[in-house]
Amino acid sequence: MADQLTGAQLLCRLLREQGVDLIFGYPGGAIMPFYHALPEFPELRHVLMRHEQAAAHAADGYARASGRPGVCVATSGPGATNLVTGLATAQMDSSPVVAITGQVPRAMIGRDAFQETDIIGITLPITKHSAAINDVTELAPKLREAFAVATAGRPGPVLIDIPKDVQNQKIDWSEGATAVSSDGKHREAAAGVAALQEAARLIGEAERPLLMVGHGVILASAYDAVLALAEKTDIPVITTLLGISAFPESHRLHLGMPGMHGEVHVNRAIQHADLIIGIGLRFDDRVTGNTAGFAPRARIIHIELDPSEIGKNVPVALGLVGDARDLTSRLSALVAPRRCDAWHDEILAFTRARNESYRGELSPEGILTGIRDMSGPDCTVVSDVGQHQMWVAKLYPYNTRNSHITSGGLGTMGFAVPAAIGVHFARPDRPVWAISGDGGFQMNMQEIATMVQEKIPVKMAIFNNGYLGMVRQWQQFFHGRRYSATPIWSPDYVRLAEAYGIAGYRVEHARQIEEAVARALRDPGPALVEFVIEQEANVFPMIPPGATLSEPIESEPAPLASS
Amino acid sequence: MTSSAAYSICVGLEDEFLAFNRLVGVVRRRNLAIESLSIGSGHEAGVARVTIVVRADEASVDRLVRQLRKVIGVRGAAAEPEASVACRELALIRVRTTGRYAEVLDTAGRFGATVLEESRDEALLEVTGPGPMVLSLIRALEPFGIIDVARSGTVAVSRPGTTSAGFETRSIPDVDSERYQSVLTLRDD
Repeated sequence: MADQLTGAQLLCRLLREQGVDLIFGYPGGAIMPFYHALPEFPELRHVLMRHEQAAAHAADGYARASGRPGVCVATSGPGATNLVTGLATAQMDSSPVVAITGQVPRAMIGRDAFQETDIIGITLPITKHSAAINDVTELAPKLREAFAVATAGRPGPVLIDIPKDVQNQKIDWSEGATAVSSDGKHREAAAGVAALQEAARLIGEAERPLLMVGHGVILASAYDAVLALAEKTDIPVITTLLGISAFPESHRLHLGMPGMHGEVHVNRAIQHADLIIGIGLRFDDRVTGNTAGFAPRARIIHIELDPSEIGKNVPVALGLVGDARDLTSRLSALVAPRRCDAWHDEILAFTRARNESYRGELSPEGILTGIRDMSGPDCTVVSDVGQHQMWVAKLYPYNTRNSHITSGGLGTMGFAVPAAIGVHFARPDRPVWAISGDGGFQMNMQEIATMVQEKIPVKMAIFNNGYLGMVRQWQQFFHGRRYSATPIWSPDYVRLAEAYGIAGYRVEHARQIEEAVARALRDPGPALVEFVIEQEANVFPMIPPGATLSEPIESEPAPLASS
Repeated sequence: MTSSAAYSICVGLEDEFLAFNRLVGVVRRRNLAIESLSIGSGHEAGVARVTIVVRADEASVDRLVRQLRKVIGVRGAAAEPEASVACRELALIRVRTTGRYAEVLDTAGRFGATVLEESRDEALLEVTGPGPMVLSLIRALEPFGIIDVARSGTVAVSRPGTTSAGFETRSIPDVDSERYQSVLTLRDD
C-alpha cells in the first residue's frame, strides 16, 4: 500500500528507518518543509541548538559516545556553512555524523539566491561523502547510502543537501525494499594468516615491545582483544590522546600518553623500543614528534582498518589491514605467552616526577582529582582544546571504556560544551562533564541556553587562567614571552550562570573544590563551576615543535631567556 | 627519499561530476606536480576513466593512490611507472600554410600527423603520440604560425604482456602481497 508523502515526510521516515531518534538542528528558510513535517514524527526528538556549529559537535559527541551515527540539520547558506568546523572535527576524528542541509529550490541554484551556498563544494575535503538530492526519487537511496558510508569501515561525516522544492515534492512510497547497496568502501582486506604469524614472530623476538593504542580500538570495541594481547605478552600499553580510555589506566601495563605532552617515561620507552605494535592509530605528528627521529630502534607493526594510513606517517615493517578487534584477537591467539620484566624495569627507571607548573594551591591535578572522586567511574569527561585538554588527558585516571572524549585531530576550541550535550543523550543516566578553558568556553557558551531549554544536566568546568593558555605557553617558550593577543577577559561566570538560571560556582582555593563539584553534581540541571587557576601554569613535559621525542622540555625556561 | 619520476595513475570513476570533483580535490591538496589529467570513457559503461600523469617520488604516488581508492565513486586506482604503460595524446593543431604548404606538410609527415581539413591559408592537423612527441611537433610548427592548439591530455594503458590489466583488477593491496611489502620496505630506507 503506497502512501503519498512529501520529500520532507519521506526524509523523516527514512531517518526512523535508520534508527535515528535524535536530531540536533536549527531551522531556517530552505529547511522549513522538513521542520513542517517533523511534528508528525514525535519519535524523532529534535534538540534546538543555539548555533549550527554546536549542532554538528553535539551530533559528533553523540556518535562518539553511542557508536551510532549522530544527525544534525541546518538550513542553506549560513546554516550550512556554520556546520563546517563541526564536520571537519568529525572527519579528523573518524566520527559518523550525518548532516542534512536545506538548499535553495532547484530553479534558484547557481543564481546566487538568498542564502545559497555550494555547501557540497565547501565540504568536499572535510566529509567522507556527500550528495545533493536532485529529485525526490533519489532521496531514499542516497540517504541510506549516507548512513551506510558514515558508519562503514573507518567512520566519518556525510552531508546530504536537499533543495527546498525537493522536500516539497510528492512521492508514492511503500515501506520495504530497504536493501542498500553501498559503496561504503568497507572492503577490509583482512590480513592473511601469514602476516599475523609474522607479527606474532616479531612479538616473540622483541626485547622492548610496546603497544600503542588509538581511537580505532574504541571505534572497533577492541578493548578485550587489546587487554588480552597485552596480558598474554606482558607488553606495556601506551594510549594516544584519542586512545585514552581504550585501556584501563589502573592496569599495571598502562604507561600513559605519548607525544608532544606525553610523559617522559612514555616517550623514552618509544625511543628505546625495538618493536611497536600500533593498533588503530595514525601516528599523528603530535604523537611522533619529528618522524625522522621517532622510535629509531623500533620496527613497527601497524594494525589499521584504513589501508591509506599504513606507512603514511612512519615507515612500518608490517601493515595489517582490517578490523582492530578481529586482527588483535587473532594475533593474540597466535602469540606465545611471554614476560617483559627487564623492559618494565628499564621503563620504570625512565619515570620522572610530574612537574606541572603552578604556583597557587589550586592545581589542575587537584581539580581533576576532585571531579573524579565526586563523579564516580561512570562519568564521561569531554574536554576542549588547549592546556586543560592535556591536563584532562593526563591527570584523570580513565578506567571506564570510552569515557574520555575530545577533539584530537582538528583541535577544535569550543567543542566540549556542545559535544557534551550529545554525550548526555547517549548516556542519559551517567554524569557528563564538559571541561573547557576560558577561551574555548566562550566560543560556544551560548549552548547553556540549549541545556536549560532541553533540561540537559551537563556539568561544565572552566579552567580560567585569563589567558589563551596553550598559545601563551608557546609564546613563553618560543616567542620571547611576547604575550600577543593571549590575555583574554571573561565575564563573571557565576553571574552568567545566574542569568541562564542555572547553578554557578567559583572555586579559588583547593578547599572549595569538593563542595562546589558536589553541589554541581547534586543539582538536577546543568551547572557551571569556574576554577580560577594560576595564570601562567604550564603543561609539562613538552616536546618543542619539530623536535624528536628524545628532547623534552621538562620545566620552566630560564626567566626571560634571550631569544 | 626516492627520486621523482613520471607515473601514470589510472582511475576508474563513477560517471558523475561530484566524484570527479572529489578526485581532483584529493590530487590538488597534495601539491603534486601534475603533468596531465584527462577524463574519458573506459571499457565499462558508466565508469569514466581518468588518467593522471604526475612527477613525484614513489612514496607520494603510493599515498595518493591509496587516498584515491578511499574516495566514494572511485572504483579502482593504480599507478604505473612511465616505462610500464603505453601513453598517447591527441592534438589538433591549426597552423598557417601561407606560401609554405609543402614545408608544413613535410614537417607534419615527419611526426605522423595528418591533415584533417584545410583552407587557402591554413591547415588543421591531427597528431597522436606520446606527450613529448606531440610537443615537439608543436614546436616544429611554431615558425609557420600556430593559430590554435587543443591537446587531449594523456591516456594510458599497461603494455601487453605485463601482469597488470589496469585498475579494474586491483583491489586494496593485501599485506601478504609482495608488491605491497616492497613498497613499504622501500620507505624504510
